[in-house]
Amino acid sequence: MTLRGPLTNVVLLLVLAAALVIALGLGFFHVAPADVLRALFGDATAQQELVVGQLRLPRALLAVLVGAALALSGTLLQGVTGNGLADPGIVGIHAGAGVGVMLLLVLPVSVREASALAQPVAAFVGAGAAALLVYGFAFKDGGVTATRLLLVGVGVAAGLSAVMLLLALRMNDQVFAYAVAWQSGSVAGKGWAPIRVLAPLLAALVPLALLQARRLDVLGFGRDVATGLGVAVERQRLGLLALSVGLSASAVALAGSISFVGLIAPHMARSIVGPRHANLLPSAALLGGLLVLVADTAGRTLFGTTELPAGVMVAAVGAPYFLYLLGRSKA
Amino acid sequence: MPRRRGRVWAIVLALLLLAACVWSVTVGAVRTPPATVWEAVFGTDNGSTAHEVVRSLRLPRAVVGAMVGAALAMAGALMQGLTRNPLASPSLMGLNAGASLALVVLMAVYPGLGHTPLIVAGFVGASVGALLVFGVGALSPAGLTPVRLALAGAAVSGLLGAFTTGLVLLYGIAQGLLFYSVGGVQNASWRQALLFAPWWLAGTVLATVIAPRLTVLALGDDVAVGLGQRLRATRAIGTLAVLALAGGAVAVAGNVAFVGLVAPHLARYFVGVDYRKVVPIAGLLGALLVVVADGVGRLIRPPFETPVGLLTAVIGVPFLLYYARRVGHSA
Amino acid sequence: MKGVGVGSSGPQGAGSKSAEAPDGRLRFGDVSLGYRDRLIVEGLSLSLPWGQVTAIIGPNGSGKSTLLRALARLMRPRAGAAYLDGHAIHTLPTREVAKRLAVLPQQPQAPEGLTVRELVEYGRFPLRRTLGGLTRDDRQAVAEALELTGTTDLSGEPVSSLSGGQRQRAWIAMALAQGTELLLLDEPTTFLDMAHQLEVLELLKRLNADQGRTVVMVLHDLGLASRYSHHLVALREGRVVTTGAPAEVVTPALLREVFEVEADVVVDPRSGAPICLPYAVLSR
Repeated sequence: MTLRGPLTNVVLLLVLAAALVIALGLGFFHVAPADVLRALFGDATAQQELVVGQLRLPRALLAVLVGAALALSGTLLQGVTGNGLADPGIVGIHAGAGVGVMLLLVLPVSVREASALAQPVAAFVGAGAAALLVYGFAFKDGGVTATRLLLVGVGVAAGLSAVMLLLALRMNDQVFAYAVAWQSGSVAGKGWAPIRVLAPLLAALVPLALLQARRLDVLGFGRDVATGLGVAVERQRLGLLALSVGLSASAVALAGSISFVGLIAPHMARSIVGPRHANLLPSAALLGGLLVLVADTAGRTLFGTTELPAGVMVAAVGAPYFLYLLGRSKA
Repeated sequence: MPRRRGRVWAIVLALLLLAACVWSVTVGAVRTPPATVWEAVFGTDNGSTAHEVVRSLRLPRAVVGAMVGAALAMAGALMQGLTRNPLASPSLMGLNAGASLALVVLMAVYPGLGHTPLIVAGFVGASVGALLVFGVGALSPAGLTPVRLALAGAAVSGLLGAFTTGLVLLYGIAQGLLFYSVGGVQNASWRQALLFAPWWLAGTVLATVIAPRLTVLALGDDVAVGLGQRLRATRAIGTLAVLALAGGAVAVAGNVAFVGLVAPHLARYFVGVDYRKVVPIAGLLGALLVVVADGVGRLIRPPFETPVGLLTAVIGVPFLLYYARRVGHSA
Repeated sequence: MKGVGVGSSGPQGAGSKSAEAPDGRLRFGDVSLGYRDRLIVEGLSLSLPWGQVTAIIGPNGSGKSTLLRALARLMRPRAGAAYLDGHAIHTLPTREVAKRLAVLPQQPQAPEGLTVRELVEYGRFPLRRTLGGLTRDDRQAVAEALELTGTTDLSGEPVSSLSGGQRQRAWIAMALAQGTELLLLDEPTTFLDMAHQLEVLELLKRLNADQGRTVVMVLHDLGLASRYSHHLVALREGRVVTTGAPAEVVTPALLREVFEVEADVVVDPRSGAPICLPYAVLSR
């Protein structure tokens, strides 16, 4: 019983590694798994090394990192709100990032192109601002309740979507198409730069999240019992929400708005390893990474020359599962 | 005293609506003085542009706007009564997302179709979206609490939206979709009005029939059955009315958000909880809202038109936030 | 539950606000409590006896739960404070409080699939470090808690599958695992069947008698309160009407004032506690 969780996570890690190797081999230029491994270690043909190491590897790694970040964010949010339907996208974080990016796109070209970082920063700031808005509106009588947080989130998300549409109307077709593409979330063509930002960020934030595991469990008992057990509920909630937003905003800033990973991954994880966050958090992260990796790979291999962005594919993969979840969830 | 209140409001609102329609017809890029309007409507057609504008553009626009507003508001009132959930409304329950998706699917597969099939597609799509949210919520033991509804609606909308985005990217239909998703009656015509009319009438008749039963339903299923009401019949008729009204409205005017949410609440505030009064009053309020918003949208930055959907969001989002702050009191 | 233990006092006059008992380890000092715009309790001072079982009784809306929640620091006072060993409870760090008192709120919910043992283990939370597994002390405390509540055999079962009485005992075990001298319970027997009500109250009686733990509980049922407590606090509309041993407190006069009923009071042959038998609503 006590080993089941960690053991399962080890298995998941191996599955993820295997999936990665396979994904690196799939595509227009097919590479056998054995050759993939060789390419990673510099022992294959130049062409294989180019395709695997330069083209596909950063993309696959980004997919995994983004998926893990989003999944963790969702798990934290669901833990804090005690609601299995919570997802950072639904409560306005992604919409905030979208507004940030669109505001940038509406500015003159010179400002936009000033730095390669302009877009991720704009997205991050937008997401953070949205989170503050939501928290601010939800704060009443000294704290936020889960219900208020979620409802306000839906409201803010709706408002920000309206703002996005307003901005969209001022754009010419080209820019608008670009904005739409960004909104739908993609890990393609970004090179190593995002990974250099995201990996250390995750390396810092993930252990922080894992340390909160037991506190998250106790928060799950509700405000009264948690307070009775010595948890400073409001403070903890704020901290965990900040962590959740940080993870989510980072992922969205770098890869656009990939929704539903934060919603689905925790549920998948829970059905495998149970509700205790010590196991749930790593499990959700691994599953999230796997989900986005599979979605992205499917998106680039299944449709011939057209590529569908990961965001759309995650929805396609996740939708049936999500509906099934909704049907049987009790929260 | 209560009975008189309803009638008084009905008369007041009807007069306001009439005034608003007249005002709406005079407003726009080309200011048309009331005298010209009068001539255009009641006098002989002298073939001038002014008359043309009044007859073929502005008048149908006001009429369709009123129909759409009334339909959405009545649908919202019915939904709130049927689900006993104050957050139920067409835009929050996936109708808009469903309709968009259906339209995009149709546009992708058969580009350049006429109006009629598109309206039908919108109707079908809206039904699918709503049924998804309804059905999923009904399956769960916890039922459709306000939070579950908001989240389920947001999630289903997001999912369907992701599919829509995918198709838009694949088939390059961006611009047309934009105006649709923003929601408005810019392209209103007599033809649209005539197409919508049967659905509108059918829905309104059903809504009027159902209204008294909804008041009883608000007391709870058990009490309602004890008072001799047939729950399934009520729900079936109600759902049909909602689909006819909301589906038709969304198909004609796109995503005019929040009318269906706000109007019933306002109506309840004015005339109390008897649905026999709430439904028609909400209808009048909704019509008024859309006609005024449409007119204002033309006044803001002429000749540019701000879509109705954005203006209703200006009212709707603060309302939702205000409501969210009042409501969340659980842990 | 005969006997007037240390710390009880005779009934005060109707409408008086304060009641003093010799030991002041646990008391309310001029406390005012309310929700949003409504004040439920105003300027209340009250001392609760240590080492005994106290029941707070009164009609709906009298402020019983409010008072208990303030004592458990689940609620912040508008003015005044609840004091434990001289410290105002709401000013202490919440973890510190968790080491001194354990509270069982109304209708607690456990996450799906949690077993009894896992639930009780969470009771050690205030004492555990962030990292690391259960220490020997932890395990011992958990085992003891399970045994005291008679739930050792149930320890592997999911909490959600237990009967009402068993579930309450599991939650009490969790509170016990915290290892505190003081236990606060908010309506622990409401919604339970007769048998389960007795189960829970007998357990609390034992915990007090054998281990000397102080128990303060809000009870809806006057008969149960009468039989299972040393000390009663009767509230009405946010004010203390009277306090004392059940034999002194449960009188027709009290029932008239606090509950607005005409009642006979008889003595329970088994426990010697007064039992009230209402027969008419008080005409105004």
